[in-house]
Amino acid sequence: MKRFKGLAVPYFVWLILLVVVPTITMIVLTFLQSNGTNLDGAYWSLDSYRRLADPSILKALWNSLVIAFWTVLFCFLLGYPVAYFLSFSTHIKNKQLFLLLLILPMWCNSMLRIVSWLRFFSTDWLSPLNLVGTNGAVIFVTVTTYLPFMVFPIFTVLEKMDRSLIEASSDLGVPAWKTFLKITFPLSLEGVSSGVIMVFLPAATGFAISETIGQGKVRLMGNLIQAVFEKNNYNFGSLLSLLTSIVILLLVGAVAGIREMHKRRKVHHVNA
Amino acid sequence: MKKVIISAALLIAFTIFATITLSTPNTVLYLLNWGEYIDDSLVQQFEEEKHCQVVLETVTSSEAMYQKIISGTTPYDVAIPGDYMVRKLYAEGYLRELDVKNTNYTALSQYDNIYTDSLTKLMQEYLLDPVTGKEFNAYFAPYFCGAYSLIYSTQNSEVDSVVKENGFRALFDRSLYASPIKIGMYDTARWMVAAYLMSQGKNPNMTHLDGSTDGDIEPALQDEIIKALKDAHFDEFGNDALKRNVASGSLDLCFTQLGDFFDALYLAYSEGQSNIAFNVSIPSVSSAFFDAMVVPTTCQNYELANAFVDFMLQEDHAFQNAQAIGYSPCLKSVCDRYHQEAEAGAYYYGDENTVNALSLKDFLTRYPMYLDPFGSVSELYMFEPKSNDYLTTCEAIFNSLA
Repeated sequence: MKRFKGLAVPYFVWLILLVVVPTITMIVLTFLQSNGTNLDGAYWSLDSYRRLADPSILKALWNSLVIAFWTVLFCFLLGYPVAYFLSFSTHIKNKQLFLLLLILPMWCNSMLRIVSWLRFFSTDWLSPLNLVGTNGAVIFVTVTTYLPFMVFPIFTVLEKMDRSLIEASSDLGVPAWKTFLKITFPLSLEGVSSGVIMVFLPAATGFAISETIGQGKVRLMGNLIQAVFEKNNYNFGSLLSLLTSIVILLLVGAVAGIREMHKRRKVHHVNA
Repeated sequence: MKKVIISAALLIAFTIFATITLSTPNTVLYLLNWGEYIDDSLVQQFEEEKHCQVVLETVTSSEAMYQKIISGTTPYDVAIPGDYMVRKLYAEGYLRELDVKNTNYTALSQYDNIYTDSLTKLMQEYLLDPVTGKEFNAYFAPYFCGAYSLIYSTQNSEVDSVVKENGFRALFDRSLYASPIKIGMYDTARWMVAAYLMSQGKNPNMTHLDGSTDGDIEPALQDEIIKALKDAHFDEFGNDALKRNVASGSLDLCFTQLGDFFDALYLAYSEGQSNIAFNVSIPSVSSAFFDAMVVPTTCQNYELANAFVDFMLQEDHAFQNAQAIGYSPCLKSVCDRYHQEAEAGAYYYGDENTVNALSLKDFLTRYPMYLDPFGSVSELYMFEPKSNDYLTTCEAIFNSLA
């Protein structure tokens, strides 16, 4: 193993340059009042932290989490069956083609797709529904954008699953639905948790969808951060970004923790 | 044989290389501008005249322009920021003096005879060196100007009278109307703040309830603004789409810049409409703005940059640009030119064979504010967001509405 250690060096350089250094820079920036990243005439100040007291910030964070929650839920409800049938169906000869169809929309720029939805919602027969500027429309477009991120991890886990377990279950006379609940689903949870994280992260932090589809009526954390950075307030922008990162890290950590606990319990079961 | 092939290949490679090198202009002008804010054919003409290439980059705010200039990653030769940003860039030493002696406007340093009187007055009042208190006119050349206005649909006659009587209050006070109407607000946070303050007949730069304009907006005033913006129950927040929605009648009224109206008007004509069902009104308490060409210190081709500013200031070009863009011209000569062309029977849209043609004369009679955006304003301000802090507070106010 030692021989390959050198191969990890680029990764660490990458990590330090693009994660550690920016994070430290942002932490320092939160304690300053500066003109953007220009530190001439900058001084230490807690002004950014004072701004956190504004209740609208908590609201934006909450809105982001709510939108991300519903997005994850719908992606799961739509994505799991798709992954399941793709993996288990004996009728589909060319799975690769179906997978390709799933990622096909991603070949075109996401901004283009978002604007297309906006135009679609504004057509004569959809505009009476007043979809534009609602949470529902933002969630809908977010779901369509990130659905593949849910399908793929689940599909991969299902593909790798040992089918003889399911055969054994049915041989022992367990009904199909119970087999799914007791065997297939628990074994696919790893894929689900990856999917949840992969959808949750961009859904909670993005700003393009809420900006375009929300039309100023749906304001998420991403919008606020983008606006603040655009106004050259890197100090408060950094603080908001860090705050969002911390909240999301905690949530993702919780999901990972649940997964770990589940795994350990399983091992315990087997050992017992 | 091999030698022949190799020499032939070398010859072809050389020819291709030489063609590419010769056909690529050796000079490049980096222009930092707003979207759809310059007549493309003028850019082309400039490229041909100077045998150069103009690389255009667009932004959506003066702040973004500022960040791009100071970051220095692209050596912009000419930028067209808004008034207050011109001052900020100047104060921080990011602007180079224009080479006024080598332009068609040798008197560029004293605007009196070049720019419209109203604009000249504004500049003399607001664009002063923060240290010496003197004008720094040789550092910028106004490009287009305008005023904060209201575009409204004329389908509901009630809106017309309410807008004309109440100015920006028409955006915030639904009790002024007998019928339910749809109101759109621009999604730029600082404009919402300015619109509200002006609706109360106040200075849009006000930051304290006692009327002072120092520092950041005080909490009590913030609360007042948030409450008013919430109570307004805007039907739509947007930017470019607002004017189109008023033009099509799906909104009754929106806040916007004067130039947006003329943009929408021209579009309506070119779509073949002859019954224009929307109009514009500049409230008696309003704010002026102008954008100006500047040469940032990042400029690498000072001569070409000056040539560009000079090119855009020439009457023919400025006139053509104004016609194409729809914002109000800053040059006196262009305003005079409009009147001359109108007398000569020129058309704003179409010609004698067009069904929905509009003569320039009728256009100027109907919309006198085009050449004189500040004429009907009794209390004219210059809205200038002072600091990043102020702008952040505006964003927080906007954020409170959702």
